[in-house]
Amino acid sequence: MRWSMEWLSDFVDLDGLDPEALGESITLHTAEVDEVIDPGAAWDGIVVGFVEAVRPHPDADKLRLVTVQTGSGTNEVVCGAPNVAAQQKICYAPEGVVLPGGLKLEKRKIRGVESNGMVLSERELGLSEEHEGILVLDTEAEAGTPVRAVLPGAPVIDVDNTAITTRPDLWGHYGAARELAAILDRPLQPLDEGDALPDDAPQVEVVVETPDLCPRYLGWVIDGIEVGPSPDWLVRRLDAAGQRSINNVVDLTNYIQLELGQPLHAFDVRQIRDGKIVVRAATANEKVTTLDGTARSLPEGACVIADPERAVAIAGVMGLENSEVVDDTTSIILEVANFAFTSIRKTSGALGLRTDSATRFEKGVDVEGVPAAARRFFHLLKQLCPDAKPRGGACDVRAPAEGARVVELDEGWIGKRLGLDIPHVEIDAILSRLGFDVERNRGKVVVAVPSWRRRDIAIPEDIVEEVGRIHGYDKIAPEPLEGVLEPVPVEEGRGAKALARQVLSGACGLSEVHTYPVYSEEEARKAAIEPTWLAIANWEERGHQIMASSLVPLVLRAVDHNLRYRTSFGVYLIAPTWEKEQGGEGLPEERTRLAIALAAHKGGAPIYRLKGMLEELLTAFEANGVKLRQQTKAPAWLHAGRSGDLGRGNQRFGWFGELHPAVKRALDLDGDVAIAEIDLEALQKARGKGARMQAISRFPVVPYDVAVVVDARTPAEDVERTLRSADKKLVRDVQLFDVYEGKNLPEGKRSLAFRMVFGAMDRTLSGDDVDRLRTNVESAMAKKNWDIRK
Amino acid sequence: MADLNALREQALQRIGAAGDADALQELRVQLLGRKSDLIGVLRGLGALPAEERGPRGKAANEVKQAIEQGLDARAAELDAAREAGLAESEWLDLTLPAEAPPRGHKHPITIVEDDLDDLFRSMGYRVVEGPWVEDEWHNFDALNIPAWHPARDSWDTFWLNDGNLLRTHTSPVQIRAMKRFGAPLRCVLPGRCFRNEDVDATHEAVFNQIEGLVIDRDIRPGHLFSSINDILSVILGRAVETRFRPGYFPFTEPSFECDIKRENGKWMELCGMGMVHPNVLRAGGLDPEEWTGFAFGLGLDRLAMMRFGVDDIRWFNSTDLRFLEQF
Repeated sequence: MRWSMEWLSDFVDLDGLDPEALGESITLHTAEVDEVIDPGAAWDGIVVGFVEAVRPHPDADKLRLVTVQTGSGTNEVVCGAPNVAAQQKICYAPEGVVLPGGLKLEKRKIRGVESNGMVLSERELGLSEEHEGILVLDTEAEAGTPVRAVLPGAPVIDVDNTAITTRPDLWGHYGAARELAAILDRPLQPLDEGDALPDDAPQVEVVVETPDLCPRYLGWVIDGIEVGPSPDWLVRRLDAAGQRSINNVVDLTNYIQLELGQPLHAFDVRQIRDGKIVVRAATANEKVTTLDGTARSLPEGACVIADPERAVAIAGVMGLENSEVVDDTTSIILEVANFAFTSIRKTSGALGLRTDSATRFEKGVDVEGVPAAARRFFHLLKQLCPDAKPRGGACDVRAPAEGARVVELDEGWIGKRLGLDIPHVEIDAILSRLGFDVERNRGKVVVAVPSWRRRDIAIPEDIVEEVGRIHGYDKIAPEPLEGVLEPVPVEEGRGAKALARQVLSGACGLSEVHTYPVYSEEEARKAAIEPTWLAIANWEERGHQIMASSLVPLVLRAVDHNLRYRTSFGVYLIAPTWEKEQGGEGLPEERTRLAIALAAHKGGAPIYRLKGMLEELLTAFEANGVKLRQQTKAPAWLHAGRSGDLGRGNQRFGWFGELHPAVKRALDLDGDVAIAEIDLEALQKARGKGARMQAISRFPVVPYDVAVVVDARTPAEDVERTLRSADKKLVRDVQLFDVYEGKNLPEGKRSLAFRMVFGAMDRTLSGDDVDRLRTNVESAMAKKNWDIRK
Repeated sequence: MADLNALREQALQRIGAAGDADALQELRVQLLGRKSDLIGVLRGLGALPAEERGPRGKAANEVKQAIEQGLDARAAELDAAREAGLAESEWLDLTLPAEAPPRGHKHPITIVEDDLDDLFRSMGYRVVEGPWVEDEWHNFDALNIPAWHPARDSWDTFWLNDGNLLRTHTSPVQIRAMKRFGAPLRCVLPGRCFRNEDVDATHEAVFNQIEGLVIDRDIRPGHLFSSINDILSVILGRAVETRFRPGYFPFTEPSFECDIKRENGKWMELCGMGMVHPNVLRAGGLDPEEWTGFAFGLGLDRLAMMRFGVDDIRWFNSTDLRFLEQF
């Protein structure tokens, strides 16, 4: 909302206030100011010039040579404006001046003639977009007077619209002036509303069929209208507020809207059948053509202004073409109405038609402000159309008035809440400047809320805010919190995520990625993941986006992206997944999972690196008994021969393996990809109590190497387990150190070489001990029909 | 006796002539080894008459010590001589690329969140998370945003086909935390949020917030301002000048915006906050007559952008390692 300082000055004295400082005050006490627009602030060096002579340019038809007197001398300027003429007073910027747009004027030749400085247009002055010709001043001021002293500097304060979304009163200059009067503690001038509305019988009949959509409707016939251009003051003020001039009648309705925040509409009387206005709900598929020439289909529930035969306006949003004020209009029906804000918001939203009127109505315009707006309109209309006169009285139809809102609070409570010692008189003065009536009675403060604040003031805390912000939040001293310090345990789920990140971004050297938790059906299909039911219903630009039931498509998204830049890397993702419909409280179950993906060049076998990382993770989680187990029945995204699970007995915590070739093909991924997905919440539940020290033997150990020839498909893990079984106590360790297939071995066999370590906790092993252990190993191998390679 | 003196002189001479560690080692064997002349002398002691045995043995041991000292001294000389020339003899090109240890990277948002986690825990705040998929009641109604409220339009909500929604802010976790822990309460609520709006360099549809909530008896705006000053000073790593001005949020009353003063002297809006609205306390199961509180919200993406100099918010969800590996 643009507040013109000139306009505000009608109602509150702003003398001596710098626009920037005023903007700052508004920001600190009311609402954020986006911008203070003050073109005059950039007019240093620009002076009134007197055009002594205008001559043609020797080399250009459209250019002329203008002699400008500035009091201290004359300058010859090359000028292209068609309206420049001798004897004019104009705005002259000499060489060296920086124009409001940032251009620095320098002496230069134009078509061979030297030009000194510039004669300015409104646009060059930063006043408007007008650039057809130069600005001609109507002033008595001497040449050489700074322009700033002559032109109305018209600073505008642009207040952030979202910051005043609950303050319909601030959408008009009068309400804004009241606010400034409260902030500045200066008197607010009363609004000149002119004569009371006549008591005569109305010459328009208003029927409100839908009082819930239209709490109040005032219709009033005014004759003696002469449609024409608006006077300068009106155009200028509308322009300052960002509104284009149309004609005097329409401009005046807009003017009242910008002044009082109350939208008005004027119908041509000739177009309203039977002189009857009907406020009703739109009929099914009702079609209309609005003022902007657009045909529209009305949404269900829209409120419509109609005559007995047809709609003439979409209530509170926009009038229709069929009844607008035109050049030969001589009588109007003025509409000053109030519409239910929810209905206006819905209708304007459904139509995609955000008009200034709808913007105000959807904030909840003051129902009690209707008559004043009608009177003010007529009062000013008489300046524009001297013959204007009412035809009868106004027909003011309204729902029963709601009683005045009263907020009651305990004396001293406001100060207590703010932590400030504010005297009663100050509180009362602030509230009264804002239009509240305050009564103090036996320890109670009774605050009557003015009708224009009904929208945002309802509870005692609202009153606290009013007093606090006008008094100034800068007066509130910071005070440290006090209270009992209690231990703050880490939430389980957070702890699990933190631990996983520590391991994966630490020892494992992986990078954590974030991505949207949704995928398309195609992404799911390519990753061999079954899409679930849960999807976003209103993401028009992206279409059907399914909430992730698996992190696999998401982590593959990261793999796919990064394969553009490199061949070998690892990423992980920790995020919720939604797989089951019922997680309690009407919400789908949300389970946090972890996905890891390693990409490597072809043959890089990232699967063993992945396995190492998963083991690291299991160690970190102290997940006792949870093992990586090779499986052949893995999910479809995994390579059936190269996959396994993380499990303990019947419990499964996740899957890992090489990516299925079909998924790689669908995603067009090069190289090898190993991938894992783990239920982090389940893993968290399996966490052990933490590390306990294992006793370390003080006695020497005996290493013993053994190579076992087995079927190529015999898992190394089985051989290792069997070797360990040679003696549960004295076999301290078994590590595979070589795998061999090929020459000297039969087809389909391989040799697995292990280093075993023998030792005891309580003594040095004797030669007999070692011999017995060897015999045990040999017989264990023999039992399995495995040959020990000599 | 003469032969022992000669033996020593000759040995020391040979030691002095030894040119490197290997030659010296060989000499050590020759001079002091089992087959050496000196050991021969020592072995022969037993055959001597008793009165000669003592002096002869003493003399032989002195020679042995002299030789050992000579060997050690020469070894030290040789080492020193060799090491004096290391710069030439064993020069390595240290400008060759390093063998980098594996290094992983937490997401920059995680880094910022972890730091805040530490900060808030040190001040006695619990860190509480809530679901990403929320119901309308927690996301709106409980936060004093009834269905008709125009503010609902300012959160462009992603609705789900089961009637739930993707939370538009972390504020619904305020309600969950109040219900779970009651009062008094100090907690922060970090997490992912979602808004159905156009994405550009400064706006993301999927972004991160952290909210703080303090509930106790007689909490006043001064407590809020003090906490915010402390928190921002730690986050930004410098003493910050702040100012508090009116703001509007349906879930707080009064509401404030906090600006910080930048190096260029201009104010920059940083976060919104306010005193918890009595309707919100009620929704959280607390009696507003008894309890008051404050709440504040910070954009984690914005903080991460400021801290790391990130120029475009879209990098955070890009999965791009060229970006992620910088942190």
